[in-house]
Amino acid sequence: MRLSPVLRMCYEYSNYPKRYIERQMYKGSQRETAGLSGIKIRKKKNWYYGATRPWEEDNQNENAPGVRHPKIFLEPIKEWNVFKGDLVEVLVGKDKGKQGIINYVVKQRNWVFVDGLHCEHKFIKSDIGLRPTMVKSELPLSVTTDIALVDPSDNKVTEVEWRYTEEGKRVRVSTRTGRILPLSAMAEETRDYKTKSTYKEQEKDTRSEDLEKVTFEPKLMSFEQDIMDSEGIIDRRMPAKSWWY
Amino acid sequence: MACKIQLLKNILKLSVSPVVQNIAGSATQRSLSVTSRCVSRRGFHSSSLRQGLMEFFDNPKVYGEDQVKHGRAWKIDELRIKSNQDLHKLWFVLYKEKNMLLTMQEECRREAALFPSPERIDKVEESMENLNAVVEERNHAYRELEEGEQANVDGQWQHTPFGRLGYRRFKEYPIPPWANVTHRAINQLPRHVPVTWKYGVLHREQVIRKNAQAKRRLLNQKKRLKSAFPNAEMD
Repeated sequence: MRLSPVLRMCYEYSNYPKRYIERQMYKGSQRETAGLSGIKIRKKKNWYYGATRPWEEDNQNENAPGVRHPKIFLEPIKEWNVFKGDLVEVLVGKDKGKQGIINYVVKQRNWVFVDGLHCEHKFIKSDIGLRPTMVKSELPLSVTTDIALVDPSDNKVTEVEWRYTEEGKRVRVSTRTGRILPLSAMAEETRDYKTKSTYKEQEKDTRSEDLEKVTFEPKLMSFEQDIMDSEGIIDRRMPAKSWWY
Repeated sequence: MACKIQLLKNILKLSVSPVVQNIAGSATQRSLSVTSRCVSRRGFHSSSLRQGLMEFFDNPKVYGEDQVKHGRAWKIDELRIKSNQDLHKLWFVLYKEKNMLLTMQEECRREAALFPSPERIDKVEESMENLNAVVEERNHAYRELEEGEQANVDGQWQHTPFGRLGYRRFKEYPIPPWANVTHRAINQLPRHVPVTWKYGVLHREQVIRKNAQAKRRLLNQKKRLKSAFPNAEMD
């Protein structure tokens, strides 16, 4: 499978903590002094999401102070059925009827990008003196109207539904044929591992045996008392009487 | 170098000089005894690595890298099964890591170099927050067992002198409330001072208006969505 020209990272793929994403998002936003409390960041209320991610510079430029965008009406979706690595059929545009694999999802806009389909070709001027190069990149497709999932049994378009198996596992099922549409391994993949089980432990990671070890013993004492006991610290000072109100 | 040695000598002179001893003899004795104890406990070092100040810096292998491979933050459920001693040790591991990362961040900024994987700071901070939450949970449960529910009450809802309801957190005082004149003057007023009645009415009107506005906005939004997407499932 080919990689798209720009390596795009889904939220799940990036595996960034939420707090980091927010920190990067409002990096370039306006700061104002807020009295004695220090500096306050003026957070933008309606953040504009595009094909780039909030931790990338392009998206931050789109949300720079003073830049305005038309209001976007998003179709509310109850259950998200389409994931990275799924085989889908394109229902609109030049590539109508062709099947491809999803390589990028933008949940904030109900968008998916299908690998190598529904593309635009652009000339990009790189340097002075060099000839402009043509770049092919995918355009977004709406999840609700522009694509449909493909049933693996007959390679035709179906609607899907979430059901439970006898083991209690939640799976996607084709409503037309009743066949299970398993999630691709690409949906689980992140920057750090291909699958969770094949994650390679790093130097500073806690080993899984140590992580799962239960060392907690209930004791009738506060955390501080317990630590003082185990460290052999004896404090016989009596605190002065005080009132909380 | 010579200058430095001179400075060191001066400092030594100051600390052991008899003049100082005359002024505060007991204090110098105490300081001397402390230094001697420190020397005897030279081997005391709880961490496994002994690199002195270089512990504030990352492994030199990762300098100039784009990315440092690392794991995820500690989840709160994973910390709940650990003993108090383990949490105490982990706190210092995390604390040292955070100090190291912040030092590296500052150093990279100073050298105009790339600080690899800055999300590590957020992960460490998240772990520390979770750890603190677990400790607070345990202490909360202990207080409730020992003193009852009353022990964990940290404040109360009361009317301000301007007639508005607010939550006031308790503070620690050295004197009881009946003897605290300022506290009684500020916090033990009647619910409504007549002068502030009309402001109360105005405030309530504002609240009602804002609520109605929010409700209307939500309804309009729903209408607009329905007209744009007639087939969509909506609540």
